[in-house]
Amino acid sequence: MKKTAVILALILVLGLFAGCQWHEYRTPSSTFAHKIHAKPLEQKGFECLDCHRFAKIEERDFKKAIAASERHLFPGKAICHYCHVEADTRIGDAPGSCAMCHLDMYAIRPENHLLKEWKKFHALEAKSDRQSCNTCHREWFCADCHTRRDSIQTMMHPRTYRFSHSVEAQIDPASCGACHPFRFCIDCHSGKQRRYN
Amino acid sequence: MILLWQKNNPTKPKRKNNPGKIVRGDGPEAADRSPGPGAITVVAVLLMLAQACPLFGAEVSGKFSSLFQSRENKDGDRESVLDNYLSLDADRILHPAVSMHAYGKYGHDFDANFSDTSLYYGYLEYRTHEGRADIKLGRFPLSTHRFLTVDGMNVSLKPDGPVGVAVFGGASKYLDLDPDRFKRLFSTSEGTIYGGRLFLQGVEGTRAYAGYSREGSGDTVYQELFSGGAGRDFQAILLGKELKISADGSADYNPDRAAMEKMSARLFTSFDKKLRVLLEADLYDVQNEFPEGRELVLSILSDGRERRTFYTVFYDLNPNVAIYQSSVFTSLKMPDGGWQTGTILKGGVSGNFIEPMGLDLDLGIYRFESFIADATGISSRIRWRPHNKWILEGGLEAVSIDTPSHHDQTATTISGEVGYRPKPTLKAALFVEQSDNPEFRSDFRTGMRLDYDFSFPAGRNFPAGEGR
Repeated sequence: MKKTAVILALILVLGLFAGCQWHEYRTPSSTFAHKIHAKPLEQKGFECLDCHRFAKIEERDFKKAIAASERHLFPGKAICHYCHVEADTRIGDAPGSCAMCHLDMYAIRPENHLLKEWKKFHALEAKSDRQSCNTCHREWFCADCHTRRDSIQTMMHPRTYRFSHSVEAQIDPASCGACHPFRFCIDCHSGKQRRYN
Repeated sequence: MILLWQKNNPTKPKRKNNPGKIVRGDGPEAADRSPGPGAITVVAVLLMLAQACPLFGAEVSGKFSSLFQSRENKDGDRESVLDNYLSLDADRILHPAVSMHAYGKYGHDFDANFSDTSLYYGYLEYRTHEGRADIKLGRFPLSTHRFLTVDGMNVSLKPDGPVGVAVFGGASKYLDLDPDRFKRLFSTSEGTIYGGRLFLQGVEGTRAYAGYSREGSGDTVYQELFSGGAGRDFQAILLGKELKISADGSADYNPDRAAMEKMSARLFTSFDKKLRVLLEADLYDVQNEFPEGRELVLSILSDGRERRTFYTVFYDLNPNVAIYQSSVFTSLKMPDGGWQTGTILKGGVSGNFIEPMGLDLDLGIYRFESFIADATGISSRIRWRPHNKWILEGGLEAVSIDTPSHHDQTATTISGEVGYRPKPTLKAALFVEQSDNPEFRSDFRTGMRLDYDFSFPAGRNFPAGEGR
């Protein structure tokens, strides 16, 4: 325990002193950099007016476009998502990770995604309207959660769950079965070749 | 492309400090896990695809995630494992509508000198504009009555009109069938599944489907279900505030037993964007013919019947702080004919101060009450970005169980992580975790992880928006 406390304290101190620039919150529009986008957009044949609603900037005059659009002429998420997200139109150069632009993922979370509880009760939605899931999530997102085990990240259960799982299993075994076949239980409880139990 | 999957390399299976104890690779199951050419095939196919992309053109994107962890338990045993996960999407191969998608894992246990490769999915897809025609061929995840993986084909069509249709068929695959936690192999001798679904399309705020699926092996039917579901969103103004309601319901009917295996109803309400309430009720009645080990947990721990009611309430006190409370009430029909009840109560506070100070946190308490034992626990998590490139995370959890035979045993876990994000697509982190568990192992775990999102065009480029 002492070892852990020391390491945690070190980590915190390191983290505290690591930065010379304090946290600066960025919205998707302030994250956008014309410098990065100019070349690929030009290669793809986009003009300034394809994104921005202004009339008097000469074609491909990026300096003026940058000056005008940085804050006041942000064209809206549909324009960004056209290349970065939408399955039918996205382009290979454009990273599709939401966290690229959305530093606060909570801000774009659908209303019914009620923190951890949503994971337990998302099946009904996923069955009836998979398309709405695919608005934000790719296939690997489902497979990652449904298949990945023993990660440092807590996907579904609390970290202490191994100790207390039997209590919940006796209350709500139907929810165990949503992810685990019965052999998952047998392997551990029979002491069968599972390491470090 | 379709038939490439997992590899076992059961070399040196014994644990170093306890050479007499079977860890893996011994026993009759090991005989079935003879080394196969799976990993070589996976690598070869990925290399071929990488070679082919520049010739034909493709837009490649994906995510690479690597996790190294070393853990030591009280007995002094050590486990050092590297897990690498790669998701890969190659769009517009040959034709704007053709794409390839894959997600796999390569893991290596340094102490046991043991490797494991799995392909969770890998399929070719032909998808026209807005998915009007969508054909998947290979190993793909499928959401029917449950989430599973299928080696086969799925065809979905959305013609003009309100109804779309999908059919699927192939070999059903299940994870968690290997006795060793390190490996998550798909089963090799499972049955087949086929079915189809009609679904409503293009009706704003309304969803509905009707489907059929049959899973079995030869003449044996593991599970045959007719499924149906519908949902609708409503909006109104109440007391001058916005009120949103979504109502959903679904049912799975088993014709063999002439019984409803599962019925669910859910109501989600949002009032003034501050108060959100989710209500759900489920009825289960399952009896299945699945092979040994794949039975449903519910059918083993009860006679297959469960009634469950659930609600959770979230209320935003202000833009930064929300409080929540949720409860689950269940009744289980036991083999002796009696009903056992159980309750789960949770509550907590969630803070989102990301905009003003880069901080978000969650503090919760919970209480489980079952007919065998009660458990009371707390969980806390804090994540702070003191700098745009640094992320600090910490968590503390404790749970205490009170049973007739063991009074007030407590397990605790404390964890911390320092993450560095030099650019939005790359994050590296060091973590440490100490777990104290009176029943199972107590261990000290350290490690690092790396997440990298990538995307690049390979070969010929289609202009944006072209095709499909």
